[in-house]
Amino acid sequence: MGADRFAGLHLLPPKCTEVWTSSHLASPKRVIRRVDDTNVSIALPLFWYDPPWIDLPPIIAARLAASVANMDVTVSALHRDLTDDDDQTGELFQPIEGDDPLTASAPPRYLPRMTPYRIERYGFVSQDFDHAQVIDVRLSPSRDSSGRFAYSPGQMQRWERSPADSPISGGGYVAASTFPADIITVEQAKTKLEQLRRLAPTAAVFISITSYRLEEELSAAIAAHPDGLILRLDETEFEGLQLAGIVSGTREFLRRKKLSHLPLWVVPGEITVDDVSKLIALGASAVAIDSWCAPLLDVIQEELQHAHSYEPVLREIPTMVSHHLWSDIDRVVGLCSSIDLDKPTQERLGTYHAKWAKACNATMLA
Amino acid sequence: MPHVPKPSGPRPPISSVLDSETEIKSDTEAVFDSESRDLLSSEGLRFSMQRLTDAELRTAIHSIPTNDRDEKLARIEIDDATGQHAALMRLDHPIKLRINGSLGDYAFAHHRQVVVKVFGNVGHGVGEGMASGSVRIRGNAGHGAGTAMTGGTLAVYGSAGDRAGAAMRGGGLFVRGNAGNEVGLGAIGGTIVIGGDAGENIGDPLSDVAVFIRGNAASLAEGVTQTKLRKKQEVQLGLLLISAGIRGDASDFQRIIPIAKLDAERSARGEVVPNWR
Repeated sequence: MGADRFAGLHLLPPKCTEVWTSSHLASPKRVIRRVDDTNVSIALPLFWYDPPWIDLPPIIAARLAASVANMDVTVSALHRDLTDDDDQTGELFQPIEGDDPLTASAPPRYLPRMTPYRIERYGFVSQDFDHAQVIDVRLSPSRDSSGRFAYSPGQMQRWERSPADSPISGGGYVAASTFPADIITVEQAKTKLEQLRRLAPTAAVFISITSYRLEEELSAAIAAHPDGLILRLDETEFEGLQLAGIVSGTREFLRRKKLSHLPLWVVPGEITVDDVSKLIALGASAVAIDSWCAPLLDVIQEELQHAHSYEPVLREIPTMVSHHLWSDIDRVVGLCSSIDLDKPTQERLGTYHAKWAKACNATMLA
Repeated sequence: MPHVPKPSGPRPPISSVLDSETEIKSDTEAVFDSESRDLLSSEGLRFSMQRLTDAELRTAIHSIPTNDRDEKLARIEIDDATGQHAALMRLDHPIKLRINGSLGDYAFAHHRQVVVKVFGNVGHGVGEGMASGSVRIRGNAGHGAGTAMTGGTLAVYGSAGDRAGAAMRGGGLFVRGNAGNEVGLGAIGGTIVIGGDAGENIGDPLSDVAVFIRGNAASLAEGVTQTKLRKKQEVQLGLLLISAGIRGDASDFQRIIPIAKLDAERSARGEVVPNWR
């Protein structure tokens, strides 16, 4: 994990001049209220936004996805990311086993999952709507690891199940699109989101946007009445100060539009545990921890090179994930328990630097 | 008031052999009406979209028993379609539906098995992600018809708007009239047949989709070309036209194909090379 990007900010403890009260430990659990008043529970303010599933064999990817989701981290995946056979269901999509028999009559529970609803919907199947907690409507393309706005031949083969001797589009990269073909105007996007709520009755429907042309894209996104926003800040190397300013500014923009309640999930790129809690204090409702999960892929790929079969690696993955993530997640829960989201930013965050105070409205401490 | 869509595609051509009064009658009304006569038989059920919510309607449709031994599908007639959005999505049941009236955006999205005829228009994104079965629209369709569909048949007997068949992954899209701009944008599989004219930028240079057009395209996308059908494709297209209930001679059509793919075809003496890029 890299250095703190928000080292200039400090989570403020309670004032010693206040009347003696016991410290209130806030729960990390959040409830998202959909536009149609359906509630969606989110156990932790952490999610894995863009896992490179294509770098792992499907069976290994499925075990890793389920193991991370088992830590209450919301994991993004399509069915076809995690299986190579449509008759099989990846562990992430199966009901949770071993629930209390006393509650056997209750509806089955599922691991926290978000469904990427990409512009072109390559690889998407109808079952991807089922039991998801978030539908992530991506209104702009993202670069792949090669820097292209495109999908690699291997990715297309995984998604579309094309035979090896008859690759999609002649075996080349398939260009990503810039806007969904069936969304006509910003105003009409509202109808699209209503459609998705009907198709995914258990999920909150979010729109994800990039930080370029932020005000313009934010205005367009909120006009569609999403249940939440995902702000993608991982595509360029933002400095911590810029990142804090953008998140703080976005929250302020939403407040001015009388949308203070709207969940704002942030994809920050490289992030430390303490910075996650500071982002939440700045106004993020959840933070992507892709950079925490990336080392897991490296370790698994390394192990696969030396393993004679998948079986030993499969057995190790849950322990490996728990060992790697548990203490970091616990610290996020701990730090977030001290953040009072009902108080203004100035009472949550302080700084000794004027530029930080100016960028994100933190209290100037000296 | 519910939104009743109006596609923005180009106007239907004024003179075409297949658009004579006789042809229109045989091509649309006769095909549709032969089915509707069956629907009025005693075995058909009738529901109203005004009296039932969409969820209730879907439940009612899915609860209709099907008989595996009987080749004839159960028939349902649905009245009071007045432009409802997101109607009758994710149906997955072997039955026939006749919809009287027009539907709004995203009708029949993620559709499977059901054989549908709509006696009216539909809005944007009709048949998005549909995987099997068939949807036939007697009127016009809005933009993005058949977006990301993976199978089945979507036939529009009127005209369709922009981006018809965008990101298609399989199945067949038939537009008897005209289609708007950017037909087949990002499509990676399936078949698109345009009976009339098309707007700007038809085709996709990276696409495996087969695009056939009878009329003229305002312009082709960069990297694609228009060429004659091969004999084998004429036969295939002829069969597709029959299955879509669209009359016409396959030899009247031309195909839109990536230049790289055409070059690969020619250099391989008629055999399509899978890895043509």
